[in-house]
Amino acid sequence: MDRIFRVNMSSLKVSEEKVSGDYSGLGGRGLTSMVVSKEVPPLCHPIGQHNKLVITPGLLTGTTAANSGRLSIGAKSPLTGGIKESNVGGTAATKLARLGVAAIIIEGKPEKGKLYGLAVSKDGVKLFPADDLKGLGNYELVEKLQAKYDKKTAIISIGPAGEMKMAMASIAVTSTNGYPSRHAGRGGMGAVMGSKGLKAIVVDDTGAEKVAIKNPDLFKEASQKFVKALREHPVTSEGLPKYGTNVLAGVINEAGGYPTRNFSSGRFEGTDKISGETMYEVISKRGGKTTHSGCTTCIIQCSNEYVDEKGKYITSGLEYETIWANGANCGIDDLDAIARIDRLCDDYGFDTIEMGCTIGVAMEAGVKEFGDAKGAIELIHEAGKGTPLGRIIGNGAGFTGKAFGVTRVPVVKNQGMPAYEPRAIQGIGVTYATSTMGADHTAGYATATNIMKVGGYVDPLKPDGQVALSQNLQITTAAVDSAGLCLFIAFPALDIPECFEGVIGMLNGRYGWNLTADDVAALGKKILKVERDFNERAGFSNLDDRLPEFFKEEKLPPHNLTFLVPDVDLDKVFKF
Amino acid sequence: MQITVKLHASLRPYGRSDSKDGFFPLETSKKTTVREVIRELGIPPEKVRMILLNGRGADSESVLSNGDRLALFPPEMAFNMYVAISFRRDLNHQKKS
Repeated sequence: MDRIFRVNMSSLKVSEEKVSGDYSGLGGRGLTSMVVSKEVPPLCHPIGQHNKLVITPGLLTGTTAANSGRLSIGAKSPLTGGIKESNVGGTAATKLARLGVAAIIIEGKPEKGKLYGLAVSKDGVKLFPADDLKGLGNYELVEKLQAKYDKKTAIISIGPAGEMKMAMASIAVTSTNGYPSRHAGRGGMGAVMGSKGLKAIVVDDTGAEKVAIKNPDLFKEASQKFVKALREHPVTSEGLPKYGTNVLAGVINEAGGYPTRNFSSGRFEGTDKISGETMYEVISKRGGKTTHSGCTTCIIQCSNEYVDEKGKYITSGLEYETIWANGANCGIDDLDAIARIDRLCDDYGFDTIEMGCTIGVAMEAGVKEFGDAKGAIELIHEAGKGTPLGRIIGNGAGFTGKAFGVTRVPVVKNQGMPAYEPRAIQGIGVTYATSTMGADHTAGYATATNIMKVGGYVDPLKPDGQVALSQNLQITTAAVDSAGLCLFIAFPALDIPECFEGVIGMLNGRYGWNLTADDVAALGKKILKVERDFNERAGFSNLDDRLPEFFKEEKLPPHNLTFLVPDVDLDKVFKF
Repeated sequence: MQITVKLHASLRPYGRSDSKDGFFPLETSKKTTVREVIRELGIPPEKVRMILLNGRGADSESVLSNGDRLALFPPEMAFNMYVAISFRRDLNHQKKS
């Protein structure tokens, strides 16, 4: 995995170079952030010619390592104005890695109105004209391309949202079932891809050689240790496969941290209608799939296939965040409607988290009523069609809040907040405020530590210990995001020491390194420092590491607390 | 005194037959502990991995009061972040004995 392909959309030329210098030893988020930091002028226009879209598999991707199928996509974000790494599963990362691709860097900007596709195979990387694909939703697009190329190629694509360069546009990746249901959702990476005139990347790894492992015995032993941990832990072996990521809804709602009706309360009265248990019953009864492995090499199988009352496929990969954002956050308790929303967002190419936050703000503004599922779907169609109202919605929660004069707008660095309330889970509030990515839950998942009471306990409702917690989690996550591993390995990793030992052993076995746990932490810190530095050069300061005003002033039911971590403590998170 | 109980996922079969979504009222005597409720419901203790009392983390020794809301979660729904921190020795919390 040492080939970097540069695709220049101004000259329409593709060049190849070998990984070297500062890019050596990096993968996934580590590599996207290093490239963006070195090559993208921080003050550039995010949908202009100087931004770059960087696509990288992770350090363990392409091997037989379990749960190693994650892809990182990075650029300067049109939504936050800072650095972005957006992470996605599906089938593309493994194929790219097997072809020896360390990174694809899309640069420049094509002639106005022209649209292209990129074909990646063992014969190289080639651009092809794609004006005939203009305006297609991801589902129809993928069907067309699979008919032309092969059913089993992986496809990375944008829908109309990306073509219209909307700030909440996602990049879709085909799932193992062939549908475009996995998304690099956060931060408008779809808009960057659209601004580069790139509609789709088709990846075919037929004929690719096996990935070379430096120390096969070490790798095999570490890999088995890792798999054992994933299979032993009840969350990864029972909870996630059975209930999907929606396994979280009951816990977070009970803890009073499930943001309801645009972050106005922490517990939703309709949660039982959209919970993991209910979703399991509905899907089983109707003959859909409750357990499904959406991403190559995954053994957790958190994905699903949701069907209607007649058993007809609606969507796949219906997740906790999507159900929360377009459910509780909008006062909607209709799981079928939420499934349809998921399908629409996947098809138009919208981030489901940002969409739910945005609809919540629109409901706060009175554009629709809270609980109006039909109204929510209407707003999504407006956005997907690019009507004037749609262009407001499609640009996210912050933009919509401004347009309608709303103050309760749950964003940090203009990115919509995910499904955890900072006032009930103070640690996640620290992560939202300080992460280089804007309001991001995966960047430093302080949720479980805050709610579980085992060993050392950090009370989620108090400010104590939250800074150290968030800091450590942000560092660890940055490292895991570089390995190409699914973040859900964190659950067994937190309880079973062999899990992380397995990860380190696999890295050492693959590359002949001698990493220790301290080295992993050092890698995480390095990545965060690089990202912080870019953001500083892009004009960010510690004043941007803050939650919106209302979190400090409005007491949130049921615990009736405000966000209590002082600003001076937030400023300590990145002092390492 | 009366409390409400909410059982999640694989704990639901231990609830009452009339409970909806694992939610039901329960009459208990004063000073009942969580452990006693778990025993009364016939739940094997190792099946309860996480306890939330009125939305806050609790353990089996917690004493219940009138009107309390007790939620019990099985192992497949509970997770612990502390092992991840353990490799950062400088951030280790003191383990409670």
